[in-house]
Amino acid sequence: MRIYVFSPGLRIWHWVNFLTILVLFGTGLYIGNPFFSGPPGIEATHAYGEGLTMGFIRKIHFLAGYILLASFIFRVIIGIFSKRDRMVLPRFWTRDYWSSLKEITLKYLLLKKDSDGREYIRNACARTAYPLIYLAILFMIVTGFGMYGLSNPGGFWSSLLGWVVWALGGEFQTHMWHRWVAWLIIVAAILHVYFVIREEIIRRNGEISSMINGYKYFEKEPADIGDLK
Amino acid sequence: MKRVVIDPVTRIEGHLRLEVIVDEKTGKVKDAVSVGTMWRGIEIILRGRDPRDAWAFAQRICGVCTSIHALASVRCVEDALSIKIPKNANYIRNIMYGSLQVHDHLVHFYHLHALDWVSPIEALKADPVATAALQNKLIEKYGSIADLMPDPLGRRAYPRKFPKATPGYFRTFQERIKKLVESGQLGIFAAHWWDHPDYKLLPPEVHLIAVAHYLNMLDVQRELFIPQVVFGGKNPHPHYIVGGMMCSISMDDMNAPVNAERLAVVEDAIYTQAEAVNLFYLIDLIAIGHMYVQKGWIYGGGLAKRRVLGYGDLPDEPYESIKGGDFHDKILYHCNGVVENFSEGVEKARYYPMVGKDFTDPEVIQEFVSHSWYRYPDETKGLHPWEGVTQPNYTGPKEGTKTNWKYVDEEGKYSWIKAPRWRGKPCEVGPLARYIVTYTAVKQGHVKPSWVDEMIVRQVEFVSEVLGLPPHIWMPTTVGRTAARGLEAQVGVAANLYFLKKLYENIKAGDTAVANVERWDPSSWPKTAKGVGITEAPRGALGHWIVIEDGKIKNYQCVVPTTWNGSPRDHKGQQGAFEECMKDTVVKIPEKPVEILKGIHSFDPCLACSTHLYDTEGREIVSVRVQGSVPVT
Amino acid sequence: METFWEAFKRHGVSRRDFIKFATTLTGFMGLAPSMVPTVIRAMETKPRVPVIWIHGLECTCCSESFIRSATPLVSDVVLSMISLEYDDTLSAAAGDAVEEHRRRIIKEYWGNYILAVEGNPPLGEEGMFCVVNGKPFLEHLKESAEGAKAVIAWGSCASWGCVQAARPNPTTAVSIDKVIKDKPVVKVPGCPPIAEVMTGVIMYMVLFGKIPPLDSQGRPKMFYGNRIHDTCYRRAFFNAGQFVERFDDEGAKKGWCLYKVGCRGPTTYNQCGSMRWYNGLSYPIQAGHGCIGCSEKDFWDNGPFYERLTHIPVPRQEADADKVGAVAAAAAVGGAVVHGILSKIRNSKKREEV
Repeated sequence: MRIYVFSPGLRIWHWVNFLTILVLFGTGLYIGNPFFSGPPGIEATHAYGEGLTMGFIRKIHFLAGYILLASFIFRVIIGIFSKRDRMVLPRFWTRDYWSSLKEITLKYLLLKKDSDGREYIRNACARTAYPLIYLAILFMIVTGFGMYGLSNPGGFWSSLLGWVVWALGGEFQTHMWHRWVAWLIIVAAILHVYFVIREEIIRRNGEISSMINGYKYFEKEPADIGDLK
Repeated sequence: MKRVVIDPVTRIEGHLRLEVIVDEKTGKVKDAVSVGTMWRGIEIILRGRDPRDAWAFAQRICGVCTSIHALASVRCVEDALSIKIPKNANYIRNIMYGSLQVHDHLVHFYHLHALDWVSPIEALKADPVATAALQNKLIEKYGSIADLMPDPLGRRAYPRKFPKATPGYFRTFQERIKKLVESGQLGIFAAHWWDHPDYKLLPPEVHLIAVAHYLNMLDVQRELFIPQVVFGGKNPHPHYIVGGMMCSISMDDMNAPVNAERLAVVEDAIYTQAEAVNLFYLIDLIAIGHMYVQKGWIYGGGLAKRRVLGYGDLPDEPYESIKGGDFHDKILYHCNGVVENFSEGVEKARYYPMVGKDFTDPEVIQEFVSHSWYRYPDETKGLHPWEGVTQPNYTGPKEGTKTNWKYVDEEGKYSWIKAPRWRGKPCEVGPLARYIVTYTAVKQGHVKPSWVDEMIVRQVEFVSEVLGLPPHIWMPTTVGRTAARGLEAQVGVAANLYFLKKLYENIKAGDTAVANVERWDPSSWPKTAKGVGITEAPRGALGHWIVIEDGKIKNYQCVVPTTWNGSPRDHKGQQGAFEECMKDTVVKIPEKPVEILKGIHSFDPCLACSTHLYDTEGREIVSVRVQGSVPVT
Repeated sequence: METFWEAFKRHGVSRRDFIKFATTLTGFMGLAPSMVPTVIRAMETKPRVPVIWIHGLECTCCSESFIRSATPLVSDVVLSMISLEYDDTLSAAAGDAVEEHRRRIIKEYWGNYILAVEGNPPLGEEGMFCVVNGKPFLEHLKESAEGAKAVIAWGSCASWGCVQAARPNPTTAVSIDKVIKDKPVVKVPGCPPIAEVMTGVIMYMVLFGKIPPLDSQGRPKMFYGNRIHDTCYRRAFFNAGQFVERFDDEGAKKGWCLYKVGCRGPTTYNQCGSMRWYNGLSYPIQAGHGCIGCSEKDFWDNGPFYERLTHIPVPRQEADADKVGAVAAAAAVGGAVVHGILSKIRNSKKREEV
């Protein structure tokens, strides 16, 4: 059966998020460790406008940061207004969550076959992992804008988020945390892509195309179909 | 008998307590106890860290003799990793070193020591007209000491800083002090024993000159450190790097850390140093010292009469290593040695050289803890710094409670300072020790004298002539200790001019390198390495010992000047220089022991330096073949 | 007590020089020119304040820095602006005499004196790692703080703990605000703080009779608001991506950005970039060395100083965040491929069974 899973808003958000994270990670790697030099032989003041300089790369990083922030807010809003877009939240309080978690863990450990047991639109493992990724992104936004804001002490961002920097033990520590969590997100993204491909290959359920057209295919009615309706 | 406690001792660095047992009838000091009352454990903190960072940690041992521990630290890391620094780096480091000597000695004399000799209260009685006349007379009488200082650059048109000798100037100062006294808010001058008879030894006019210069030099001292700010970026605590200096030199590029303008700033500052030393410091020092000696103040020598120690410094050119002996082949200041019984005359004194191997030989430098708040397996034995063990063992006082002392227990443990010994014997270190060693080495013909050695001999002879006393009488005394420090400040200025000229010439010859970064990356280091870094700190001989393993500090120890001078007794009951000095002093009023303060201040104690601990598991010492030794002629 | 203007008059300073001084001072404290009359009024009306300056575990670099101040010169500060009644480094008197004087000042000026603390108290061995007058410094500190109007924490020792509190902190040294809880504490971090920052803080307090506005970390906003990186004269080279790769290379001679040799300017709040040291003469970055972050909390444990991304303790390996991250990412890809193949095999068997 063909089920409409992803709303247009969510699909747009997903791809914007994908692009911004990619840009943020790439530019962030350079900012933390500038592995190539800016244009040689040009005076610093003029070099700023000449291609890939630290200043330009930082500007891209900050711009992408704003986009990430805006898309994150958008994601929260559609989650609030649409039941369909709230499917990422885990339901620790239900017995079903725990049995599903056990079942999916056994499947991933290759002790059970994927087709055994119940089917889910969003299994318990995913419902556990996605909120953590959202939290990691939120952490990056909060620490990122905290550090960004402190170049204007007393300004909007430093008043709002400056405290985060001190709570983490100072700006040097915050830089390090920002870096470690960035890598964490990238590792999570790799695993995300893998599980998508795996699902597609094993189940042939249109997992990959679902993030474009919104539809997935299921052999039987998923156990969590109630979350969509 | 009366037991007098002085705690805290002020006008020093760190925390020191003194207890003296005085015979009230004769004023003789029967016994004296010096107690280091702080401990921080910087060597423990250094373990496991990057050796290239060590200088920054070690430098924080002391902010008064700032930069000297950084210098010893980069030297010991370079010694361990066999790094030879470029010529320019050697010259720049020497200028930074010389600037420290000048600053530290001058500030010590005026701001930490002068108030033991002169009093603002006495200054009020002076006649400004007579004071101006006296100032002129002193410049005329002692000013020729400036001629002892060679000036290879010769570029100062006229002295910018010159002692003012007009009645109006001194009257203004006097009125200033008078108002201060009348306001009742004496501030830093409050509560001292100004009624002590020693403050009557000098005529009021000398007091007024000295107090005026106290304030004058308080404002000038900052300028003496300008070379460190230019080359090291700040002061206190300028920056260094392992392998040389980071202040790249370029006469072409915009924005270079060192260019012609920066060098001009340094040159100007060195001339300011010359004027502050030659025209203020030395003249005031000789005037006051001369008068005190005439009044019979030739005591306080203590251990200096019997045994002094120095390591040597001012490498003329870059050297291959310290432990290998090349350092001592290159130095200009040949105070590397031990001299015993100098007070019997320079001919009868015994001289033992200190060269490369002596710093790694486990028998030469050892530390004892039988009277220190540490625990050794066998406290009758000393341990070389590379073999020391750490175990704080605080035992409390003789009288009083653990946290509220009356008297410390000199029979047991009583200090946070260990007791370093040279071949089992205590030594005095410091400018006086360096002067005694250098003078003896030259006079007995143990070294081929460098221009620095020759300058020192001329200085000693100048002062001997002024005082009318031979060196072995006036040098090992409290006055002699203070005088040697002033004379050494002049050597510091001369060395700065000398090395600035060398720096100019080397740059002119096309060499602008300041750092050797061949062994910057830890991947280029051997798996294990050991090094020694030595220097002559303002307060005396300083050594850092390092063991590097897998790119990290395995072990780090410092044996510092005030550990030598302020050391408690050892298991044989041999006392350190502070205690010996106090025992060689007569106290007029036991409740107001100004003489004790004079004696102890003459060492310029630095307690943050002395009181930290030496930490390592027992380990064998690599034997090092000595390539060079002190040239004997 | 007399006012500043009276003290100046007493020392023969003319009205004209006095006003000039007040104007310079106003600029120095980062105040608008319109504040000049306020400063002059303050200097004419406020009495001199007694200061007790005590030392714990420290190296005296703060005192040394203090006397390097060029504007105002330290002789003016010590003799005309404040009344430095107790200081281990400068007080003429010693022993019980100076201790009794301290107690007298505390009693006489109860609630009106400023306590300046250089260094910090060790808590280990009942505080006996630092002893003053036969008692733990901790007691000395508490006793001196009790009647103080305000407390100044000089330097990183008193503000954060500094070198003796670096791992493993053998003496259990703590910042003074851990033991003084009921007084306003002005933190003036730095190892040492810039001289003119120190005298600037003193000037503000004695002139206006209150503590300067502090940030969330207890530091005067006027001096610790900006990152060195944001005020650094080498910032243009950072933006242009022109970096010193190694000490004494071409970039070093050209004075390029020291970011890649470990400069902590981007994470350090201080006046080095704007006021600089020695009244604007230089600062570490100008001399070619990266900032080591000496005014930041626990900066000693953020080493090595020459690395941008500090090491993660991986046994027997040098590993920074990027290396660990790249290895983890590669492992994730590798793991995914292996897991994918195994999953495929496992699930295709199932299909046959069906």
